[in-house]
Formats: sequence, C-alpha cells, structure tokens
Amino acid sequence: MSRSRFVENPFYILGVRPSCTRAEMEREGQKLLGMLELGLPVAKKYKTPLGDAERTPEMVRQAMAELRDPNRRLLHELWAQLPAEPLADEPASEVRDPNQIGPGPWSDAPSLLGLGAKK
Amino acid sequence: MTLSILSVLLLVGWLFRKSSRQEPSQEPPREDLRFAVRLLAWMLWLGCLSHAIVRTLDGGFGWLWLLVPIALLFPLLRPLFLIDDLLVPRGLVRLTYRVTLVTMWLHAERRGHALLYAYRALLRAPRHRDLRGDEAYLEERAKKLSGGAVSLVAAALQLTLREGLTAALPLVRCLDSLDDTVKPPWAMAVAQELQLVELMRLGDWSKVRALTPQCEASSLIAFVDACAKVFVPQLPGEVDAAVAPPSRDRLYWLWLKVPEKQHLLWLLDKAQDFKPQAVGSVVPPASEPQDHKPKLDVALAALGKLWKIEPHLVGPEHLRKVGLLWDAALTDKDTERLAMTRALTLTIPGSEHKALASLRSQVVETLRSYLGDGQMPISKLFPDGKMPTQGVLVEAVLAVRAKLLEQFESATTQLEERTTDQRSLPWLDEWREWASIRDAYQRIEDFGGAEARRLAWTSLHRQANNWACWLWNARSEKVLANAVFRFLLRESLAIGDDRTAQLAKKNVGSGL
Repeated sequence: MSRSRFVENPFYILGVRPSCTRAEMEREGQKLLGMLELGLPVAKKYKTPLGDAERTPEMVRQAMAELRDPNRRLLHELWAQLPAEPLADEPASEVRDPNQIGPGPWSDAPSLLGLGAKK
Repeated sequence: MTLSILSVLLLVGWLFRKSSRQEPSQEPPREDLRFAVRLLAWMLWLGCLSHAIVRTLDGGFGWLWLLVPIALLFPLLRPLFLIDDLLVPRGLVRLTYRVTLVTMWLHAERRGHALLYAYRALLRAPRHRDLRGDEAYLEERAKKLSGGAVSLVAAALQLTLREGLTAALPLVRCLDSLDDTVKPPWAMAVAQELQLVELMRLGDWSKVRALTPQCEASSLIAFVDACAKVFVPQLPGEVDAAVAPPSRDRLYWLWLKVPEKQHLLWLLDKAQDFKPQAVGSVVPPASEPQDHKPKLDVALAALGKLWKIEPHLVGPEHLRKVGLLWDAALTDKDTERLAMTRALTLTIPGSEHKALASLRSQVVETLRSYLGDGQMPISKLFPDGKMPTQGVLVEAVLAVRAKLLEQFESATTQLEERTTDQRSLPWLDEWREWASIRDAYQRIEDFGGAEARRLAWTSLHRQANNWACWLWNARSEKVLANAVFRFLLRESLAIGDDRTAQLAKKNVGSGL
C-alpha cells in the first residue's frame, strides 16, 4: 500500500530535514555509514511517521544517491514534510465498516458444514 | 374389521389425491405409482401393527411382535433416514449412490438424486480409503445425466471438493438463468446451501438473511435463519418493521435440532451473545483542529494514518476523507509555493509542476491500491450518488473501473475468437468460462453501478450471443445456450436495450 513513501523516504533514512543543504546531507550520510560500520546500535534504527524502521548501510547509500538528483529530491521533499515522529493511531471505533453486520467472517464454515475442499 | 378400515382409508386417500390435483395432464405418470406404493406400505404397517396388538393381547412373549411396527415406523416416516443420517455422514460414497438409487427407484431423476447425495458423502467423508477412485466413480455416473441443473450442481460439488467452495460459486450463480424445466427444486436446494455456506464464510449476514427464506426448510436452515435474524433484524431497504430477534432459548432449541450441532456451537454462542449495533452509530473519523497546519502536512498525516490501519479495515469514509484532504493540499497555493521555492533552491526552476504531478499520481496509485479489484463500490465512496468530476479519489476510481472493463473486454474477446475459430471446450469448461464472464460482469456492476454495467454490456452482448448461437446450432449444448440467451434477455430488459431484447426473446423462444 505504498508505505514506502514514508518508510523508505531518504530524508527519514538519513535523519535530516527536507530543507537541509547537500553538504549537510552528505555529512550526515557519511556519519551514519561510519556508525553502522562500527555497529553502533543508535544508528541501526531511524524514525518515520509510521514508527521506527531498520537502517542498513545499503539504504543509506541509496538514500544519498537519491538526494543527489535534484528532481528526485524535490519529490522526496514533498513526501517528507511531516516530522519523523510516529503519527497517532486512528481510534478503533472509526475503522469499523458500518455495513459489516454480525459476527464477521467464519472461515471454518465450509469445512465444518461438510463443504470443505479435500487437498 | 381391519381390512374394511384399510379399504376405506385407501378409498379416501385415493379420492383426496385425485381431488388435490390441479392439472392432471401435467402430473408425472410416476406420481400415481409412488403414491400407491406409499399407501401400500402404510397399509402393511397398519396390518403389522394390528397383528402385533392381537399377539400382545394373547399374552406370553407376544408383546415382542410390537417391536416390528415400531422398527418400521421410522423408515416410513423418514424414508431417507438411512442415507441422510448414516451413509452420507460416514462418507460411504458408492453405497450412498446405490442405496439412493434403490430408495428412489420410483423417482424419475433418481440418478441425479443419487449423484448429489454421493457427492455430499464424498465431501463429508471423515477419511478416505480411495478418494480418486470414488471421484472417478461419480464422474462416470455424472456423464449419464442430461446436463441441466443437476449436472451443474454435481460439477459445483466436484469443484468444491477439488478447489474449494469459492471456486464453485460462480458456477452455482449461473443456475438462476436456467430454464425451469431443467431446474428441479431439490437440486436448487443444494445450490442454495452452497451459497449460504459461502456467505457465512464471508460473514455477509445481510445476504444470508435475504437468502434463507428462499431455501428449502430444514433444521439447519431454520437455525441459520434465526441467527441471521439476530444479526440483521432488518434488511437494508426493507419497508416492514424489524423482525423481533429470536430469544436465547429459541436459538438453543433450534441448535439442538440441527444434525452435527457441535460444529455450530460457535455460531450459537455468537448469536446468543450478540449485541446489536444501531445502523449509523459509527462515528466518522474525527477531524482535528488543523487550520494552522499547512494543508500538505494535514494530507500527509491523513495518508499516514490510513497506512497504519489494517487494509481490510479501511472503509470508504477513510478514503473519502483522505481524497478530500489531498485535493485541498494539491490545489493549495502554499503547496505550490513550497514546491516552487524548493525547486529554485535546488536550481531546477520550473520542475515544481512535474514534482506536483508525480506526487498526485503517487497518491492516486495509493488510493487505487485500496480499491483493489472493485471490492469497494462507488456508491459507498460517494454516498450522495454523484461522483465528482475531478479529484484524486475520482481518478483512482476511474482507473479501477477502466482496469475492470479492460479485463472484461479481454475475456469476451477471447470468447469471440474461440467462437470464430470454432474451438470447442468440454461441457464443464464451457460453463466455467461463462461463469467467469458473468462473475466479472457482476463485479463491474457492483463496483460501478448502472453506468459501468452499460459500458460492460456493449462488449458482452454480441460476443456472448454469437457464442451461444454456435453452442445451439453446431454443438447442441442447448441448456447452456438457453441459459445465455435468458441472461442476455434479462440484461437487455434491465438496461433498456430494445433491439437486443427482441433478439434475445426470439432466441429464448427457441426453447431447449
């Protein structure tokens, strides 16, 4: 469902804001690569609006390459306008479909009522 | 004395039978014989009972004679007891087939009855010694059938066995356009049971509630109907007042009467503990006070929250809300200004339009992925019944509709090519192809409503009609061809296409 627009956004991977300069981005990227090389736990995770995600050296290199292209960077900037803080969950009552009535799906019904497939 | 009573009973029964006939000419000739045999069996039973009473009154061990009429009473009251309650649950396929043939020797369609019972036995068998052997045995017997609803239901049961109930359902749904002369009620009862179980699997209790009154009465149907009334006291669009749901005791009593009730305990618990939720009580997602925030941030946050919800729990109101927020964000001056400023900073002036267009298409693609293959109808996405002329959600909806129509057109084109090349398929495969086309057509209608149905109709009528004519003329597949003609007639009348309706009427009039 395209969660990657947030989770794999280069700005969140590098932990920089969209307004950062190219030099800042390069410096942050190199710093992260060094920390990952040393195996520092603090570098292994990064924050996104959808929660924490795992960071790898490959992802950092790819993020830096993406941001070097100004056209691609502009699009990533638009997607990275939210701060890297987890968004609040929608309340449970809001996600219920009003047309879903009754106890919900009963996946065992065919096999229990003698109409299950025989593998 | 006994003989005189029996003669009177025979006479009264015969007269009652004759008087109850509405159209004697249409009554199958075997009906008389069946009635006579049943009457004879009851007369013999009464004679047996009289004899047992006399011997009992004689004293000694004469009372043992009473066991004979008692033992005979049960099969007389429920002639299919042996098949229903002993052979089918134990999965004795061949024995079920043979015993049904013998038990129903007076029935004109005893082979069809026997085949459906035997398939039920095959599906219910707790374990198999020779599954493939039994299947092959039944396939051989199925070839002896005439090809009406019984054959189709038997094929659906076979598909259920091999691929599951979901694969069989499109075939079952085609039964509605069969001619009544090849659609016996007992075969339709099996088909309805298949549909009912699938609806329960999906948890669509509104449809279960709508279907149960049309089903043949049985203890299982009565229990399921009672549960459906608990879950759905009133159907959408029903003008009458809501039905009072059955009490806990009533549910329990109905459950007790169901065979193999242990499997339905889950449903009983759910129905007994069900707390009705008033329709429309669902609170729409609350909007936070976000006037001070940039519209792009609000739209991004809405999309982020959508991604945090399990995909199957995303409802139309969520997509509507996200769509509106993105429409506002993408036309907002601040968003344009932000993109332009950043483009200038990055020394790519003028590329902001391309970036915003890419952003828009990515949002549309995201919304499209939630609409899937048309599971969320347009009528729910735009409840006022009017689709806006523009917007990201509208673009996503149109993309899904275009994809569905394209797939449908491809399927009907294949059918047309096969007709032109005169490439025939086996009987069941022809039915399955038609079933899949009908299913795709229905999916388009369910998703896009009348407008999409009309668009799909243009690529269905000619291809399906030519194919059915070929089936009729060259291959003598008259039952299938007639079912296609009937469906085309129904659709052309519903759409209001007089020209195709005339042709379909003529084709349906050709009979079977």
